Amino acid sequence: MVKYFLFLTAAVGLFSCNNSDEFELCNTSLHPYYYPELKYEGDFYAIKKHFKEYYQPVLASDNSGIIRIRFQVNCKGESGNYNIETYDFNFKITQINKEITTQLLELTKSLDGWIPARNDDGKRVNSHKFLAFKVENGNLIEIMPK
Amino acid sequence: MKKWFKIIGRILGGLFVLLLILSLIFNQMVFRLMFGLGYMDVYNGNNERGNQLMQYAMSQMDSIDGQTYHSLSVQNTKNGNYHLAIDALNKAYEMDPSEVGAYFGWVLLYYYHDYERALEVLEKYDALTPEFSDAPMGEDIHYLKGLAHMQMENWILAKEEIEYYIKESSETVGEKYVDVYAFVQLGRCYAQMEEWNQAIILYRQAIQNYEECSEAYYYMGLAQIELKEGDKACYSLNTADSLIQSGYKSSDTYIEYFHEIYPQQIQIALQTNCDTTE
Repeated sequence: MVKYFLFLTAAVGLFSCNNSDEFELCNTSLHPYYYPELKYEGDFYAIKKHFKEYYQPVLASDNSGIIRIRFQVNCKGESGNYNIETYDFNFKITQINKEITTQLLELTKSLDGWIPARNDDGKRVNSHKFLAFKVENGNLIEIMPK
Repeated sequence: MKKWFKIIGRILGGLFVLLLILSLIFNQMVFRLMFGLGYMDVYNGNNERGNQLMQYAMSQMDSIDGQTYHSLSVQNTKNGNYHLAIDALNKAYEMDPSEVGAYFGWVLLYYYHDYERALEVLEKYDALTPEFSDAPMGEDIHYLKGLAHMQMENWILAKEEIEYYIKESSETVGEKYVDVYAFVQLGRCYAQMEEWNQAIILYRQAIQNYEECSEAYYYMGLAQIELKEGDKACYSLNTADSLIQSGYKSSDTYIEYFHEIYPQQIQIALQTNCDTTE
């Protein structure tokens, strides 16, 4: 029993290590996504296509509202430090079905075409960015702001 | 002697009052400065800390004006802290609807895609000056209302509002000052009602005012496809493609325009409808 417990603890520890967020910001300043502008390969069209292709409607309770996912993109185009907040359509904080939020978070994490912003000296910088998803009856209706 | 005491007393009293006023002003300035620091912190992506700083500064201010709520809202809108932004904007709007209404309606439309509420706020704002067409954030209010109707698929109402804007602006300042995308959007309303020829007339009007309007060429190509005018459609789509490849694309740093198109869309339309084996 003790051996089993130790094995389980070690396995959980190992699993946690493998899944730890290894994301790190570069040793440069952090800027908002709009200045200098953070871009995406294929523009917003590619982002919308990504979610349209892979998002699966969720027929469950609490399946309407806005899911805001905030994250950072470093100078190498890697993303991390995700933060989720969910709202109703009056922009008040509310709970939204976890199946929806998890799915959107994973899809946001799999966006791999970020083009790091460059400052006035042409140096790549870190950016902070967010995407907000309007979901109605489990269906993804709109993505904001771009 | 008594007289001198009185004078000195008055001077000292005056100085004390002055000092009190200055210290109060200075005190308030510190909180204003603190608010500004919080604002910059949110700008730099430190959302929680920055907002805490701003909230604390506001809690210490003698009075909070609409402008402060407005500022709190702007940076939180840009960072997607929607509940904070809308709450602040609601407060600013309650305090001074005539000052905040324009921005509120505009931001609800473009940033929040809350078309119903955007329309409600814009209607109220417009009603404040019935004899005058306002221009929230530099865009005509009838055009904005038209866009909100379009997003809700109220094509006839959208058409009426956009037509009103084009007609009124053409008469007062001249057609060349009309937002060229108003013609494109009006054309799209007609296209939605399957009035393809009328849509094409409007796309041509957009091109007449702005030769490099890739969006007008793209939507015109789609309308020509519906009319089975294959050659014309492919010419329009190819023109749209070469224009967009040359950088003639309407876009904004913060939001996606409702008329915005992408090179991939043109490519799909070309591949589906035209011979692209050159």
